[in-house]
Amino acid sequence: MNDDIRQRRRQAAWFCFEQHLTEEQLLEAIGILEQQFQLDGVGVLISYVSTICAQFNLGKEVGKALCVKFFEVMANREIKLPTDPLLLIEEKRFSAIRQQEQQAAAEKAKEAAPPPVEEIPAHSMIFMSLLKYLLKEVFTDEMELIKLLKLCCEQDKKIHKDIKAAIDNWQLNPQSFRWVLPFSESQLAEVTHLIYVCLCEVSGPVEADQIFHKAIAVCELRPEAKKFPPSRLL
Amino acid sequence: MEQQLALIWSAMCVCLVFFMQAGFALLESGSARAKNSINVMMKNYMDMCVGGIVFWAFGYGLMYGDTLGWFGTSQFLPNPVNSKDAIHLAYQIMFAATSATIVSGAVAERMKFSSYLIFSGIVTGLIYPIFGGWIWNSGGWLAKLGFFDFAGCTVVHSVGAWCSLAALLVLGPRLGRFSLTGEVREIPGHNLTLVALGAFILWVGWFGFNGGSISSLTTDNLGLVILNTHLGGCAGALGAMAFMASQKKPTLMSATINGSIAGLVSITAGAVHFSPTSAIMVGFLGGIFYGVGAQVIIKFKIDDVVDAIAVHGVGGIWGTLAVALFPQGEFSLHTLLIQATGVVMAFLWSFPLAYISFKAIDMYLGARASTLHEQRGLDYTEHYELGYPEFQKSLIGSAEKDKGHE
Repeated sequence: MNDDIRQRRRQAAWFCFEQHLTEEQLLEAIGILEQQFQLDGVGVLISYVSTICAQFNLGKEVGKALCVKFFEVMANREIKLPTDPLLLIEEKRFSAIRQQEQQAAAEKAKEAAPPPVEEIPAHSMIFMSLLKYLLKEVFTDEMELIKLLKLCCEQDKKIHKDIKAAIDNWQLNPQSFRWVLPFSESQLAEVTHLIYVCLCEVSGPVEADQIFHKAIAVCELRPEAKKFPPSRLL
Repeated sequence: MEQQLALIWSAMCVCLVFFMQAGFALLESGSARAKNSINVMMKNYMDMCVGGIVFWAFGYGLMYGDTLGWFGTSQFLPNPVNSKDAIHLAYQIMFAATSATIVSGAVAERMKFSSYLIFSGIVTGLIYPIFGGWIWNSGGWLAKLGFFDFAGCTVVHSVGAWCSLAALLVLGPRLGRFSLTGEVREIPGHNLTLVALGAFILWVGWFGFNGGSISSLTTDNLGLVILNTHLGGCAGALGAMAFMASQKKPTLMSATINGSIAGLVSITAGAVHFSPTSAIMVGFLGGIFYGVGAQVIIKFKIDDVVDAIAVHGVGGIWGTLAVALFPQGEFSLHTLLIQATGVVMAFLWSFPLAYISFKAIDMYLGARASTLHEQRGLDYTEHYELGYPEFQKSLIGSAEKDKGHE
C-alpha cells in the first residue's frame, strides 16, 4: 500500500469518527489503524471500524453507518478531508517528548544544584569554630568534652535545662554541631564558660586561659567575626 | 628630748608599717594572675581603709580599754588628746590592718570584694583586737600569765593566718587548681618582679613593725631589734633555699622570698631578746618550717595563693615558741608552756570565729566569686578596670556587653 492511500485512510478514519469520538480517542483510533490494519482490502476496513466501534462503545448501527461512510469517503476523491492526523500525532508525540525532556532536565538541574543555603547566625558560626578548635587542640574527641560538660552541668545547678538537654543530644551525634543553632548569644556564652571550666579541669587554669586566647585569635580570622566579635562569647 | 625622739621614731614607725601595706599589695598582686591584679590591690588598699576606721571605732577599745582580762570595755571612738596617745592609736591601726591584709593574699582570685570587706571589718574590729588585748593590754589574761609576743608574731601574723585558713576552707580552691584526679596545678603569679619589690618593701616596713614596738629608747635596744629583724629575714631566705636544695627542687625566687618573710615573722616575737646568733637560727629554721608548711598545706588541697598560712601561721608558731627555746637566760619549760598556750589560744580564738563569720557571710551574701567571674578575672567583674588593658582587652567582650554582671 502506497503512502498516499495510507494517508487517505487516516484522513477518512478521522473524518468518519470525528463526530463520535474525542480527540484523544481519535488519536488512539488512528494509532490502531496504523499498527494493526495496514493490509489493503474491504474486510480489513470493516474489521477496523468494528474494532473501533467495539472499543469505544459506538454500537452496531453506528458501526454499519460508519463502514458505509468510510467506503464512500475512500471511493470519492472529491470529498475534502481534514489534515493528515499522523501529523497531529507526530506533533503530539514530539510535544510529549519535549515535555518529558524538559521535566528530566529540570529534575537533573534540581539534583545538581546545591541545597538551599541555610542562614546560620554569626554567633553560632563563631561558636562552632571555637568548639572545633578546642576539640582539635585539647580534647581527644568529642566524647571526652561531652562527658566533662555533663559533669559540670551536674555540679552547676544554675545551668539552663535547654543547654543540658542539648549536651545530652550532642552525645547521640557527636560529629554534628547542629545542636548549637537554636541557642542565643547569651546561651552560647554560657556554654563557652562551661567549656572553660572543663578546660581548667583537663589542662589547668593557666593553660585554659592560653588556649582560649589562641582560640579567640583563630576565630577572629573568620569572616563572621566582623558581624560577631568572638570575644563576646567570653 | 628623749621623749620627743621616741615620739618621732614612733611616728616614723607608723609610716613604715603603713608602707608594709604597699609591700603586701605588690607581693600579693604579683602572685596573682594579671586578670586579678587590680582586685588584689583593691583588697589591700581597702582593708587599710575599712580596718582603719573599724579599729579606731571599736577595735582599739576592745583591745586597750579597761578589761577584766578578756576584752576592753572603754575607749571606743577614741579622741586622744596628746601626740603620744594618737601615735599609739595610729600605730595600732596599722597593726590591725596588717593582720587583715594577710587574708587578702590567701584568698586572692576567687573571693567577692564586698564579702572580703565585711570579713576584713570583722578581723580588725573583733577577732584581732580581742586576742591582742589578751596579750598587749596590761590586764589581759595571757599577759598576766607571762606570754610574750614582742611585736605581734602571734597577735598579728598567726591571727591573720588562722583567719586565712578559715576563709580558704569555706572558699575552696581556685578553678582548676586541683584536678578531680588529684593533680596539683601550679598557677604562677603574673609578675614576680612585683613580688620581689613587695618583699623588699615589706622588709623595710618590718624595721618599723618591730622597731616601733620598743617600750622606750633607753630601756629597749632599738639597734638590736633592727639588727635581729634584718638577720632573721636574711636567714629565713637561706633556710628556704636550704629546704629547696634538700628536696632537690629548683631555687624558686618566690619561695626564697616567702622564706625571708617567714624569717621576719619568726623573729618578730623575740626580736628584742634574741642575740644575733639566735636571730639567725630562728630565722633560718623559720625559712625551713615555711617550706615544710607549704608542702603540708598543698597535701590538704588548700589553695593558698601566697602561702600565707605557711609564712605567717607556721612562722608565727615557730617564732613564738622560739622565745622560750632561745632564752636570754636559762631554758624554762614553764615559759615554753605559756608560749605554747598563747599559740594554741590564737588558733582556738581566731579560727572558729573567723570560720563562723565567713560561713555566715557566705550564706547570706556569698563569699565565692562565680566561676564566670573567675574566668573573666575579678579586675573587670568586680571593679570594671583592667590592670593590663593592652593584652586583656580581647577577653572582655562579654564583660563589656553586660558590664560584668551575671
